[in-house]
Amino acid sequence: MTPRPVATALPAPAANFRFPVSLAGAVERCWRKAAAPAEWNLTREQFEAALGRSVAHRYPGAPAPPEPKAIENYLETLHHEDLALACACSAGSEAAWESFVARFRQDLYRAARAIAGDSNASELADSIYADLYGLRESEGRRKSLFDYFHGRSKLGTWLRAVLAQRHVDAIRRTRKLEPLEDQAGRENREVAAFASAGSQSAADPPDPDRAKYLSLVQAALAAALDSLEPRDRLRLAYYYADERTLAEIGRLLGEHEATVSRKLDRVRRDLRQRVEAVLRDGKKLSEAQIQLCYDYAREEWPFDLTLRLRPASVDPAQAGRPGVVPSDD
Amino acid sequence: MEENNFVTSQDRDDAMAGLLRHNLAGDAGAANDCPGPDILAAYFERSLDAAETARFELHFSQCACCREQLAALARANEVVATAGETSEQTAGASWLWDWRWLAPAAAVLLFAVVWFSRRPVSTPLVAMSQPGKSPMQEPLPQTNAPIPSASPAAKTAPNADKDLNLTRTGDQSAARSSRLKDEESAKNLSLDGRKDVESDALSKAANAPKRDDAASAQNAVVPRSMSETVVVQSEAAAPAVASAAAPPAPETRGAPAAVSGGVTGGVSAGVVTLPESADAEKKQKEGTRTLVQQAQVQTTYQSRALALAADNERSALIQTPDAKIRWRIASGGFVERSEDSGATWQGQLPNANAHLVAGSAPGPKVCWFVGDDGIILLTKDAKSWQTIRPPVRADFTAVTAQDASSATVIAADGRKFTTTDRGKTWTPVP
Repeated sequence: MTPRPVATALPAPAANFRFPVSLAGAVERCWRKAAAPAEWNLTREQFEAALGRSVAHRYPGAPAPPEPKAIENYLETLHHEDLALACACSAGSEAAWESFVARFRQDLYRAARAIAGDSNASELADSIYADLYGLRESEGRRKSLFDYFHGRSKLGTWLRAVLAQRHVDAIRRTRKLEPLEDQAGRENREVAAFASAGSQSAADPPDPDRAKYLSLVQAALAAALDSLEPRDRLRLAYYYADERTLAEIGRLLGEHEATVSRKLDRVRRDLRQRVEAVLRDGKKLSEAQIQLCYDYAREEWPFDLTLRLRPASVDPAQAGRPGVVPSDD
Repeated sequence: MEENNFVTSQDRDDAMAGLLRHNLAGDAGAANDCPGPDILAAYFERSLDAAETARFELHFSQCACCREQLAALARANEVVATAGETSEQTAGASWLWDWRWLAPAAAVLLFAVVWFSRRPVSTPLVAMSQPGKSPMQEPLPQTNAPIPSASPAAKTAPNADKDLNLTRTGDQSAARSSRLKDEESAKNLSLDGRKDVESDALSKAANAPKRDDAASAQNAVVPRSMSETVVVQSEAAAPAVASAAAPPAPETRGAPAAVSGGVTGGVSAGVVTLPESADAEKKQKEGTRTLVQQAQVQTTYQSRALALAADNERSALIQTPDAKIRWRIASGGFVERSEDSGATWQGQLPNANAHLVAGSAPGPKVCWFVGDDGIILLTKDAKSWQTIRPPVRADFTAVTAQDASSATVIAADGRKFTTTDRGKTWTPVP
């Protein structure tokens, strides 16, 4: 099958970083560790340029140049052999390309099957393959996807990340092109469902403070979420937003399943305590009122509170952002 | 009153879960600042530094797109890793079919068969250990018993479509209820993982269909525990049964004490002779019953072993400067040490509550282990263990030790700490 080049969404490669003399030793060590075979025809200058791009990418637009020691430490963490292979492939070495194909081709297609399924795997993998080889040319030079590999991970993991990113981007683009009438129809159905839910409780007079209570509990929760450690917040997102199993979350975060469960439980408990503390001490609500907040929040499902509570004056750019609620003050 | 409080608390938990679902389901971070594949890959390999890890985890927590990509990456990595292991095993087993050793081996086997068929039957029971085999590596015969796992979640195969299905459907209620069970199961694990897995396995095995096929029960070799094998021969009288139970159990290697103790304590080995008298048939039936009981306990044991094996996926081999001496992490807080290049292993339990993840052995008798919840363990004599005060209460994923005093540990969030005085003081490593 003829590889079909697909335009990459990656940004332009980072500008090069010029190593000071004090880092010559560190660069030399990296070059030795790379141990590029002679048949790749990779020069030290080419490899140094790749290291420079990697450093520039790590410290983009830093107000002050990073300390040489920090750069040296960073260079030590790179995967030098893989970086040399990518660099040689990008430079057009046939021997390096053959070495790459022998090492990674099978895994690339295997990973594509795991990500996109059997039917779409070949197309996905072929598109990456074409970009890696560099079918596109710019300024008389072959542009290879390898230029974007900075050695921060193993080359195999990076390739799988490229596959994953392209596949998810393609799926999301398809979703955005979903016919508008479908979307409108879904919204209509949701509104109808909400209306019918409301009619069931029509016998009860509506609580004039309902919106206020919902706003209070939502704001308290948003503040509590903002104060969480990023990892705790990510764990919650995997569990509640993506509905992943504990085992999946464990694999994604490198934690044991039981650890995930324990930490989720702890964070959920902490969040509830913080929310109730804000409502009780900050907003001076009674226990009964706090209970009402929870009851109204439960009744709101499955509608997004953030959308329902958003006033007409909210900046459209903020639309749909969780945690954006009007202040009750 | 207490019941009312409980209901209220549960209602609030439910409400909180719903609120969280809606707050976290947004796509706030999905602007143009999503990291590229190099960052995703480096994050996945835990090679970003602490500050970068925190920065990108905050982004991931707000960006459903990046989370989808990470999940797809995890799926691909898993498949490739599994395929890699399979091909390694296949390559490693090719020597099995080399005729240069197969021919003499077949001759020896033939000789042994002839010798066994001609020798008098006198051995009532043979208990032999199988050195060099880990409990988790021991092949398990087919059984009818259900196989327990640490959690139902562990059984869930990654589903390619799930990651891409952002729209909520009616099926999600079923998925949620299964996830709740999943969570409950893991909660039990977190309290005392080993005990719960074992009791689960026991209860499942107790309900398993009983094997009343005497022929299957009379299979010559019945693996009895993780470290021993009982050879059952023809039916014998009761005294022979008593004597059969007498031989001392071989040393347990790596198997959790509760497991091996529970099994060996509950089983009496059956010894069988051919019926010679009028009540021989009755004796044979009794013998068969004993064997059926054995088979049930064996089934229980296999279930436990499989459950533990699932928990032991991340066991690691730790090499020491002495090529013959190795360490490895078993399940349930156990570690194992081998002094003969992995042929035989001796188990130790440094800390029953620890979930160990990685180790480093700078000397033949010196070894550091790290794990979840700030666990750092050290031995200087390969026997006694010291719990080292951690620099922070974090999950440690790696350790590199220089000697019994100096080591560097890496937390799950990428932070590194080093000590040169056996953990009395720790210094963050940039």
